[in-house]
Amino acid sequence: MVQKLKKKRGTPAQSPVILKQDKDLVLPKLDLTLDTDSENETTSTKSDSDSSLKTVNGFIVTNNKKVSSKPKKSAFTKINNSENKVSQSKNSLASEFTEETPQLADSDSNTDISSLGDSIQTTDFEDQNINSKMSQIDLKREEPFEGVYNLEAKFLKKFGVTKEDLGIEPVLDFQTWVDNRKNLPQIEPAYDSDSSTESQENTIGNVPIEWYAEYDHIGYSRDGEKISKPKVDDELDKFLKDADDPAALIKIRDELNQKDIRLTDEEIGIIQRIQQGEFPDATFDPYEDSVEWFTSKTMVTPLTGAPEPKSRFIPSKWEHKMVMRIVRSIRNGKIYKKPEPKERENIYDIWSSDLSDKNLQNDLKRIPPPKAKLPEHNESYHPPAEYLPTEEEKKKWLQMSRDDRPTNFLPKDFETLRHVPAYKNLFPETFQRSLDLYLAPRYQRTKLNIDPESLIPKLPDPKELRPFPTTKSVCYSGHTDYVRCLSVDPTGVWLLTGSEDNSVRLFEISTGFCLKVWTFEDPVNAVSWNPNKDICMFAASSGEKLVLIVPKQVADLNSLVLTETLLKNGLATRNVQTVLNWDKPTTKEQEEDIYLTIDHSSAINQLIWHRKGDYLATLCRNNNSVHIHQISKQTTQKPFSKPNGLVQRVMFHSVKPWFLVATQKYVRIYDLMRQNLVRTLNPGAKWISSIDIHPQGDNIIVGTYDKKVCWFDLDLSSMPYKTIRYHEYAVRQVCFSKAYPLFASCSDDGTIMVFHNTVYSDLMQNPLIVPVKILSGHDISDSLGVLDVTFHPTKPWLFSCGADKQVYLWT
Amino acid sequence: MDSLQSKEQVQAVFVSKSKKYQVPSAPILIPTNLKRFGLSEIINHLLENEKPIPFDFLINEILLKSTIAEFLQNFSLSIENILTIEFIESIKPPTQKETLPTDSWISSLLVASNDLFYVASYDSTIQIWNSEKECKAKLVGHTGPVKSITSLGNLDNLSDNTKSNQVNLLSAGLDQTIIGWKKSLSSSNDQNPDFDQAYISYGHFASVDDVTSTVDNSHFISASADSFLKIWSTEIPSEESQLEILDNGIEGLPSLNLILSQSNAKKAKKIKPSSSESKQPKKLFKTSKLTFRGHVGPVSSVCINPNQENQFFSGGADQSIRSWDILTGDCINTKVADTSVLDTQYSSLSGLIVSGHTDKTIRIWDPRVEDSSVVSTSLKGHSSWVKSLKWSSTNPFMLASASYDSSVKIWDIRSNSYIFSIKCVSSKNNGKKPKGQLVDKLLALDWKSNTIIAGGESGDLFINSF
Repeated sequence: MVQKLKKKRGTPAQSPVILKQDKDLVLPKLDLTLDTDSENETTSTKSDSDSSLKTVNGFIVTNNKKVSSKPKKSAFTKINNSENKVSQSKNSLASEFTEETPQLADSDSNTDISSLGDSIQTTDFEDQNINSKMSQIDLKREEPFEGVYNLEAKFLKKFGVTKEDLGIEPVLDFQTWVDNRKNLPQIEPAYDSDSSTESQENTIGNVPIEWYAEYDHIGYSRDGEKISKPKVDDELDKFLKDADDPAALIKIRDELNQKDIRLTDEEIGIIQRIQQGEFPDATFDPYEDSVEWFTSKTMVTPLTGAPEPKSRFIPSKWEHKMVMRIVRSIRNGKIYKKPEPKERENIYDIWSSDLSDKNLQNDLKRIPPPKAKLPEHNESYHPPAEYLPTEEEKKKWLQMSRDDRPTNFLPKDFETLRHVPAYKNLFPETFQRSLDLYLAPRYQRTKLNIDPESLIPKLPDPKELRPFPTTKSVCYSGHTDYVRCLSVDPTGVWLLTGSEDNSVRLFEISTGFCLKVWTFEDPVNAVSWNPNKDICMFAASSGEKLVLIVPKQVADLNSLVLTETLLKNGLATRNVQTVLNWDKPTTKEQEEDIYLTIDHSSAINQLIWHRKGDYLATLCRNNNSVHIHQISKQTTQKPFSKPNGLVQRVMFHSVKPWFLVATQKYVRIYDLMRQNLVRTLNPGAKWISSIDIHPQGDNIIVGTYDKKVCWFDLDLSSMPYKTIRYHEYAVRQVCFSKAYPLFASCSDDGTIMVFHNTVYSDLMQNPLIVPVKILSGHDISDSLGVLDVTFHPTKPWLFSCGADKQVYLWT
Repeated sequence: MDSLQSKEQVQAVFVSKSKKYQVPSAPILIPTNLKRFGLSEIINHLLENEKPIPFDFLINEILLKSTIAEFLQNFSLSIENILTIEFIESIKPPTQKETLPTDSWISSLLVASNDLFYVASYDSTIQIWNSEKECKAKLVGHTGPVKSITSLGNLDNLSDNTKSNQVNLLSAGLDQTIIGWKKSLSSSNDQNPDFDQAYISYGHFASVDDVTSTVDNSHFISASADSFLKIWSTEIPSEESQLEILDNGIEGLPSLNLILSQSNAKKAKKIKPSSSESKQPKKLFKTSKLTFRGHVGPVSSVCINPNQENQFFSGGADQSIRSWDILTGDCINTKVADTSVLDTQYSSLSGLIVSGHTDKTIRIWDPRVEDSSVVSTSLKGHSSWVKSLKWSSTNPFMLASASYDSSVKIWDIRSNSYIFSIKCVSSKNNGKKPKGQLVDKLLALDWKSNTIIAGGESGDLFINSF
């Protein structure tokens, strides 16, 4: 404030604006007159000043145009002056700090003309308030104004102004203006002096007007004279008058002065705003920014210089006590968080036809309730005669059990509806219906319209894959115990079978005639023809003994000579220091065509010839050893000092110098030339029973005791290309056909499965495996079925032997 | 409807090729529901036979086995046309006369006369049986099972000189040899024949499965499992030729000494040395004249074409039936079947080859057709391999077959199915066959005039006659 005042005082001449104010001060007074009484002749504001005409003009015109905000202002201030004081003062302060707006220093409130001259000097605080009030109006007045030059002289005369006054003509001097000013009505110096300028003279004060109802006067003038009541129009006249007067609705009656007062637009606006509960002053902004007097921002010079009170730094003891009490009670469990109540599952009627809830609609599809059966003729109370049951039918119905009855009632005939008794079965039926709904499926199964046939991979018709063995043709009989093994000679004429009855039998394949029987001391576990066609020899294992036999009955003379020389030469070049002993047979054995015996220290389980017929591999499962014998040199090697796992089968590769060793879970392929491991196959089985190699050497089949047959493609991976699970029990043997694209597997379930396998020479094409035939004919004895199978070397024929002591040829 | 159908009639003309039976050639209206028996009655009536003769009827060369109506329907013939029905005297079903039990499996059979049968057995002997169940003789010579025997037929028209040089019986065996047998001088009696081993033929490398003589009996052809066919002369070789053989050895075989030692060793096991030494005549060796190469597997059978001297046929396990030229040794024609051939027979009456197969069928081929895979007819009816076949010597349409299903079936190739089936079940273990085991196989068959004999696994010789 002080600053502002200082400024004001210090710079009186500085700004012409302030100087101007001297003259301008009058102008608000002009407004007042205009507002309150438009009829009043306002003395012309003769701007004697050298101030710009425009400003003066602006004032005048603005006043005219804006009618008057003064009374409102005053009314407003009356209503909530106290409130606004702060804000107004704020405004003024703000404006003064910024000095943005040119100040119209004094308002009309300083209506005292006498004080006009001094008004600039006024330091009254209140004045400032009002000043600030006015500044708002002033802002409005500064709006651009264009109507100056249209003013008519007549209009100006009304205000007692001439064109000359307005500066269009030569300007009047100050003295003239002072003289003219005396014509203005006297202004009450009261604070709220708006209405005091009115001409009324009733001085009764603020007493109820009813007190004067019985008198002819309504009060007294200032002079103490009675003011007579004006003639009161009767209601009809009043009505007519109102009807004529378009402004009748905006007139109110001033009972005190017995006058009709027409409300101005501003007043109506105020009334309307009050009615609407708004602030009466249209220009009042209730939401203007507040001025933070006491802010967090520390000013250079704080408002108070007092130091922070000590209490601010001391933690409250009582608060601490309160908190501790809560803490204790939480610890003691007196205060605890109540478990949130579980939200109940949404229960909804799934059968309802309108699932209006949007969430439900998203979650659920509408499931139509199972339809109740529609009533038929027989359910009628008066059914047609043909629906009525006969006595027999009734009897039958009654005898039937409740569940078997086609209907749960017997049709009955009643003459009229009146005779129909109460329906007994209502509750059972309702219950049944509820059961139907309850048991109905709660979800809709989306059925895929797929032909199941189309899902089956397209395999060629087995008929197109002929020939393959289909029927049992020849039976080779003679064994008296399990037939463990069989072998076909390379020319395809002779068949050897080894059995648990300690014998090996030689059969003619085409007739089944048993040509020769060799009897040993131990069960024969393995027997195998030498695959070399030029040599006529086979190996058989009886217990721990491996015997090499040259069957002279069937030997071709040439090959017989060859074989004998081979064996003789081998004897000559024999390396004595072999792993196992090659023994000369006894004379008795010689008579039986036994040429050599090799004593293994453990029972021999498998015999397998190399394809050239010189090497013979034997497997003893009991001591887990593998031996490879060479016939031409009569030596024995032990390729694995300690095999990796329990060896189940061994096999020579059909093309490459590889040696396959099947342990319980893996098949390992070794290169015999380089003496290293080529790869390991994992059939994913628990116990491998048998393996065989495709004649072309790229594929291997593995049979397992856990019913599986796995097909490996050596080009693909170490996992099976196909796993076939058709057998019901352990697979005992698998074998490929050398002449036809067939392989077979035999199992303890007494069946032999024959598969057609097409191995393409194209590397990109995977082998095609088609099951073509299940051969069942072997009986199961002691839960053992077919023990060995092998294919004929040139024909699509299959030999099988089993625990039922039989050997069959399938063609 | 039934009555209507029964009234359905067809015009038929009966004809017969035999002059014995002549019936009027005018068409006769006959009801279509007649079967063979009804038609037979009509013919007997027409012929005014006092004792009715059974007839069989052929329509368009097809044997009638059902009613005429069904026949017409099957072959979609119209009943409007005049049917030409040929009638033939029907064959009476054969009756099983007796069975002769032998010790071992029978591999080959020969009917020498009505009551004399040669039996080749798996116990490596040839037995001669008469119908009184007497084993007249046992020919010992082979060291392994005998697979085939053939007789050289009637040698009466030959001069004595050549006759003395001829053998009467040939037998082929699993011991890879063929033995020629000559009627021993001691047995002039036809009813009580005995044979001596005349020579032994070496040359094959495997079991000799079939042997047959040419028409003029001058040569014989053998078929072996070593895939070769060989032709040999039937003459008993001279001493000079023996020396040559001893010097040079036999082509393709190891030295003769070795062979002899081998065969002696084998024999030593079979027969007691004491008896054999004394009986053993001097051995004559024979070598083949020509080898026919072409088959790629065991050759199972060979048969000659009596009408064409230089031609013969063979069938083998390589599924082919080949015809050969004797003079050049070339394979003239190859016919390929679907499965292995077990037996082939040529009929001189009809000029057709019949073959038995492992797929239970009998196929009939026309050797005159060049095409390699044309089968005239397939006869199906057996339930196992057809091991042995024989054409009828009188009827060009009839043949008999023996199969592993232990039945002999008689076929008329004009009809699709067999006419008669003779079950040849051994009385020895009838019904005692272990479960799952197959029935006894029949391996051999011969048919001469009215007698059909068959034998096989059971060792019984089944004699049937019409």
